[in-house]
Amino acid sequence: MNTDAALLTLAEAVAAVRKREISARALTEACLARIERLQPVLNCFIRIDADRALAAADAADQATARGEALGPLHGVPLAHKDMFYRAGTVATCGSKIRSDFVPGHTATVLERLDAAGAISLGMLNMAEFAVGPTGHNTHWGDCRNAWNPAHIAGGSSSGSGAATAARLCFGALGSDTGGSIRTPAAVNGLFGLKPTTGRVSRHGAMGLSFTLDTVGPLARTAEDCALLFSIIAGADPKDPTSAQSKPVTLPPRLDGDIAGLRIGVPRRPPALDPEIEAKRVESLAVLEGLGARLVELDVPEDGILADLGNLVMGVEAATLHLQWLRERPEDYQPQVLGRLLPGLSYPGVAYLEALQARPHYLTQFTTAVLDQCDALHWPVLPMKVPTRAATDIGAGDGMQDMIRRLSAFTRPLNYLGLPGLAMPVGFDEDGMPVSFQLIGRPFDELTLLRIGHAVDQATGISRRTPPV
Amino acid sequence: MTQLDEKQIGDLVGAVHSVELTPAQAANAARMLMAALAAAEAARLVCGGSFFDTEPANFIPALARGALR
Repeated sequence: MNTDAALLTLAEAVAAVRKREISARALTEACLARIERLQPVLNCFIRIDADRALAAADAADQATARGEALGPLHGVPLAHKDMFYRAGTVATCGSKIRSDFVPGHTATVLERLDAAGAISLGMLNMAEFAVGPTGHNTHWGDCRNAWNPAHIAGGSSSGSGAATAARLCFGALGSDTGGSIRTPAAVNGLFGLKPTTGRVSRHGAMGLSFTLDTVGPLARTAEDCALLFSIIAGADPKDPTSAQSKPVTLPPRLDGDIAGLRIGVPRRPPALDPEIEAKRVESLAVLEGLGARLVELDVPEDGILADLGNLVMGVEAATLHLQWLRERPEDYQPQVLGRLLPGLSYPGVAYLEALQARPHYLTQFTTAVLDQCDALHWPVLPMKVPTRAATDIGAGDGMQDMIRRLSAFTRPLNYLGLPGLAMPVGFDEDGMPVSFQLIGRPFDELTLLRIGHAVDQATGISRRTPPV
Repeated sequence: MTQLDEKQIGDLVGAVHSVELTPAQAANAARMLMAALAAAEAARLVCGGSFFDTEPANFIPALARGALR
């Protein structure tokens, strides 16, 4: 089996099917061949739907042969975190508790991808109930990093990150409540977009935190991210919390020219591992070389935004899980239980203070940062990609500190509701990806994707393929 | 004011919500509670010390306003 077709980007695969240079079946078989080889190594999938995917591919090829109008993802295989519901199909949410849960409705984001002609290869591994930044999962097995299986795949959208990076699918959906798209994207060398709160429907997506959850794409290029985002974004009458924003209209090509755009750079850079700091400087030089203007500014972030995000998520997640916390605590893995239980202790007044303060902090951040620049250049992780062993610390004393360090630069964005794009910028001395995020104004995801695309075009970073 | 220890906080949370916490879970919950209370207090002070005269938070319109800046 020639699996080279799986190495195409999503946009290239779409174009190849449209021009009849490759069939949907050939694309699907190429992905399935890689899945067969790499699933035992990476454990990206919770369920592989090979027969269903091949049948869908054949139907797509027949539609092509009949000359039917083709959707923007016609015949291209994707896979998604196992928390997006499809009526009549098990959605485990990475848990034991929902290991046989069959939803009665389909997520709006899946309906939109279906309507665009995408094929689903199966459902991807994730942290139990989307709680956890590392990809450890005692119920379904740990998902492993596509660049080195000894390292974490990130979380909670662990399978979405590892599968897309390992070329097992052309892109994936994830969810992000405190960094769960951006972290797995970053540690697997992908682009991962956490959209503005409300931008993408959450109908039919497992909830973790009513006010912080977002749904977005992980893909190998910014262009691919933009394509997926343009299809899933937009108001949804089935999700009363979705913003009444217009659908995203992509320009014919993501403009590669970012000359004149202002990139915000913290006047006092956050403390980073020396190798990460060196990549930060390199990344800024690339942006400057593309004509962007670096603007130094003071970022009003002293850790409180992450604490407020934790407070809000804690209460909302505990609310969603209370019945199972009472009746089935032994069915959670210890670290997830240890993260859910504290939410029961937070007073209602403190929770509402955190919510009441949210517009204030958003205005403060927008004024100090986003009124001065088009995007803020900001870390995803302060350290190199950790190993699975180093982060496999259960629910002991160090657990909260480890979670705090891994999500210190991602969680504030969920509290602020702003969009963020994880963007690969290079590799460390161990060959593991290094990424930074671009933070933008509300509903201005396309500017972030434009910048990411320009950087990718200049560096060719998305062309590097994991050695697995 | 009486200071509750970790066990008492764990017992209180367990009694209020009908859940059982191990000593380690109670200690963790107590630590997280302290961090949450500190964050909420800081947020209130940053917002002027009182939310009495503020509109109820409605976040999507706040984002929309941010987009229009």
